[in-house]
Amino acid sequence: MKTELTKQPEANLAARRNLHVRPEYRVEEQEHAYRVLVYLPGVSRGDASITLEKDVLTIEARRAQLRDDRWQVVHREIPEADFRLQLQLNVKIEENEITAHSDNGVLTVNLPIAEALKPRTIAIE
Amino acid sequence: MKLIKYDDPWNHSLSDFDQLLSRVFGERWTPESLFGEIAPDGRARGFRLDSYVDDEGYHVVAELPGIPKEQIEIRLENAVLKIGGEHTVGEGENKRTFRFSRSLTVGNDIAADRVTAKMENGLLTIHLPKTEEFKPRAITVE
Repeated sequence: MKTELTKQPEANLAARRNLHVRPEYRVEEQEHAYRVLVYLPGVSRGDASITLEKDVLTIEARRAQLRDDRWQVVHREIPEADFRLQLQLNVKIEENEITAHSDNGVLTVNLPIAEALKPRTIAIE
Repeated sequence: MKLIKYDDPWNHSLSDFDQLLSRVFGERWTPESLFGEIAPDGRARGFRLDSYVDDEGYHVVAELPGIPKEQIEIRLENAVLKIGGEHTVGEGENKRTFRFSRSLTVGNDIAADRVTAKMENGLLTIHLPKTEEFKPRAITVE
């Protein structure tokens, strides 16, 4: 009887890597913009991509290799899957002015509200 | 019927996309609940960590995005490794400070003076090498 757990063949691991995990994120409302903070531990600036198609903002990121292959697992909580976050922008955003910066594993995306939606005072004649 | 696990790292939701505006008003979590020991709703939740071992020693990986390394305290005492610290979030009147901490048992065969910790892109990696005499050795039969 086999008493040892057999090692997962490489193919399964590769297939599993195509699954995505939604990263933790929060949205903050600012005066003229929405700010999305996405928590992407282990992701450097070059490994993350932000795309906007119609009104869907997609953030994808490759996770860094967490471990050496020689290491034996004692306790595991961090999923191996890459990150993907899709946000439907149900507010009108000034698309050309979207900016983003990454710092210590946190990606901050700035989404300025479109000009037409900004509050305006209307003079009474 | 779809069963959704409460603390599901895969974060499946009923819809494929989240909506930007709904997230502003219906926040499911705050930095405190992500890192702190107890979430506002009482659910115990801390930052995620993995631990591994090989012949050289123990290796611990923790997810601490957004926490500057100066705010992280790592303590090794009696085979227990404690990762914790204090973090401040928010600006002005929204400023809050919270503590986060997690302990895990490693081994008592660690060379404490050779423990290293590195923080990269919000991922903390700690290497705890075993002392020479505790490393596995092949023994030949005479």
